[in-house]
Amino acid sequence: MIPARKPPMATSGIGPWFRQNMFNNIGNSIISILAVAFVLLSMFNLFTWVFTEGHWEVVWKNMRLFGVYTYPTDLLWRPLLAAAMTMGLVGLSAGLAQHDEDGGEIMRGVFWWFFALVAFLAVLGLIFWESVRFWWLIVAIVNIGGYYLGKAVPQLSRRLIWIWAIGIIAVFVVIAGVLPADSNPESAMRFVKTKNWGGFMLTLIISAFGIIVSFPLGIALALGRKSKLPVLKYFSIGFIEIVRGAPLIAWLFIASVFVPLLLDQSPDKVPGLYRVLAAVTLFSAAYMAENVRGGLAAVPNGQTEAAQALGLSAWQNTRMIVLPQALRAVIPAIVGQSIGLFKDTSLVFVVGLFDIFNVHKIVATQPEVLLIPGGIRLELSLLLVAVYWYFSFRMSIASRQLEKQLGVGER
Amino acid sequence: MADIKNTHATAPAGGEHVIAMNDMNKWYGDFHVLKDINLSINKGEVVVVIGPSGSGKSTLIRCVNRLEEYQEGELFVNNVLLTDDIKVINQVRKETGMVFQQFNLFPHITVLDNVTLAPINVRKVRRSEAEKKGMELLDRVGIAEQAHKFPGQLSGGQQQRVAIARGLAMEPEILLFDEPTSALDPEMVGEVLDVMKELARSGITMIVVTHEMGFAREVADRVIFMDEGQIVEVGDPEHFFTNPQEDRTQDFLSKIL
Repeated sequence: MIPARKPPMATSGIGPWFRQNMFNNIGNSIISILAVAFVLLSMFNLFTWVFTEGHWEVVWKNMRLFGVYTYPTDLLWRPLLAAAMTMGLVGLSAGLAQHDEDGGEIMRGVFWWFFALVAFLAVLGLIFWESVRFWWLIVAIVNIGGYYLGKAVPQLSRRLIWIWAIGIIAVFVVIAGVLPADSNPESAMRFVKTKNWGGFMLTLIISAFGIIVSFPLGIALALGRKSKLPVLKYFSIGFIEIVRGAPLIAWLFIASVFVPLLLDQSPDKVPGLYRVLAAVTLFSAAYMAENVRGGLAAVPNGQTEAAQALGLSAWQNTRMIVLPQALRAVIPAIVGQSIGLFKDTSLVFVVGLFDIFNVHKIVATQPEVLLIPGGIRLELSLLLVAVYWYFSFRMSIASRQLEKQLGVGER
Repeated sequence: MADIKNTHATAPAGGEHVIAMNDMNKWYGDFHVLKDINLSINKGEVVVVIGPSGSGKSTLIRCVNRLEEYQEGELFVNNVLLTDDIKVINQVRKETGMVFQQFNLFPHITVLDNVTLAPINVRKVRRSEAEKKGMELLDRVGIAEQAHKFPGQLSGGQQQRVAIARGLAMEPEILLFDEPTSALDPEMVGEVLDVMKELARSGITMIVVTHEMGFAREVADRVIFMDEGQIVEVGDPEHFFTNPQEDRTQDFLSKIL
């Protein structure tokens, strides 16, 4: 009889991997140990600093500035009502998507990601923020309420686009107000000048507007560039190439003098926000156009021939055959562009708007902060990174899911 | 090289001409691809076009639904002169269906949607009606059970049969086939040819560019041999495969048969 032997050493799994790659000889073992020690030490230092030395109370005290900048304190419920409406719409869309075999999973992920943040803020609000005590809770409830409403009433999906259109207008009205600034300074719906809009609210407004508007604009420019009409074609090429030829920051500068010039108004008559929206959107549209053009080039000519042979008009061919295929080919590029735009909104400081990035500079130079040895730049930077990351990262997950899902059943 | 004769391929008398080409010429840039083509086709005829690569056979049928334009001469489809006028072009495209070598199915929509797209959007047929008709057509080409899959999930032969159903969905009078079996694996050629044979017997007018001589022999009413942009010889399959007259035709057939 053959005596039982010990099995050979495992060659896969974590243990063997370390043995084979990190501790396979004395030199590598020493390097590995030193590297691990260095990482542990720096992590220890970082966490010690974060939890015991960081001046987070300054950040905490300035949450309102980070959120909405100098939006009137007595009117804080308005941006929060706008947030509730927006989150309601997001929830509703995600809920409705659950009836759709395609979009359900992605939208569910996005929804819970938003809800986690809103619920966290609701808890903070209930405990700490007296001025807006129940408002974040309302945002969270509307958010999740929208989700379950969408799940319960699938018929709403036919009207979803109209609900969004009305919702967006309502959000704008709620934030901006309806009455002229000087009519009644106590009025609940009084006008709030855009120069008082700021913080993360402004970041979201600029990026949402930029992404939503530059998308169709970019498609139009890409199609224009391929057009047979010389005027359209050369306008598109000229626009795209000129806009891409200079950095966003230059266009923001130019917008602050150029838009008023075009409208024949003195610069202070056209609020900085509108100039920025124009610059950011047009800038993004030029890049979007190039992304879309790449997608258009990826659609084989045979597709258009088949559509023509069936008698589809040029516009039907573009809308039903070419664009759907072109766009899905460039989803990663489009989402990457959207993430870029979201982060590039931090450049609006050059025209004197106070988005969350610019607010951090105000906070860093507050008199009492200046007394803190070493300042609080690091705290502020970590906050900014956390905020930008939370949204960018989710966009990037959604993009990958979308890519994977649209690949199903193709080619 | 011996001079190539240019023949008039006139349809048999007594029929109603659905296609007529009179001294039609086409150039790609400086390259004279179709030379003085004279061809007429009767309603219900099955015409097979054969010839070496680059002889202009695909270009010839692509002129019929204006995927290519011709520069000289006349081309009538259903007695309408095909011009640059977009209305005329759209009218002609409604009356012709086309099946491509590479299938050219729309990969982002289901098989059934491929078939119903044109009826719904061009003919404005109601969706329910178009889908009922679409399922009938898919059943006719033997792939009704694949209706809700995407084209990429089907084999080449199945895809080409969907393409045929898509072409039929607009109820065209004329079906154009541009080398429909050339991109298929050998074992799938048969299933596509079977569908085409069934169609040929149903009385629809067909122009088929192909290298499938068996198909030509079995179902063609007339076979046209093209070379260097000209119609060299024309005749019924019997004449063609047993007793070709032109040297060029004999030479070609001896190489492929």
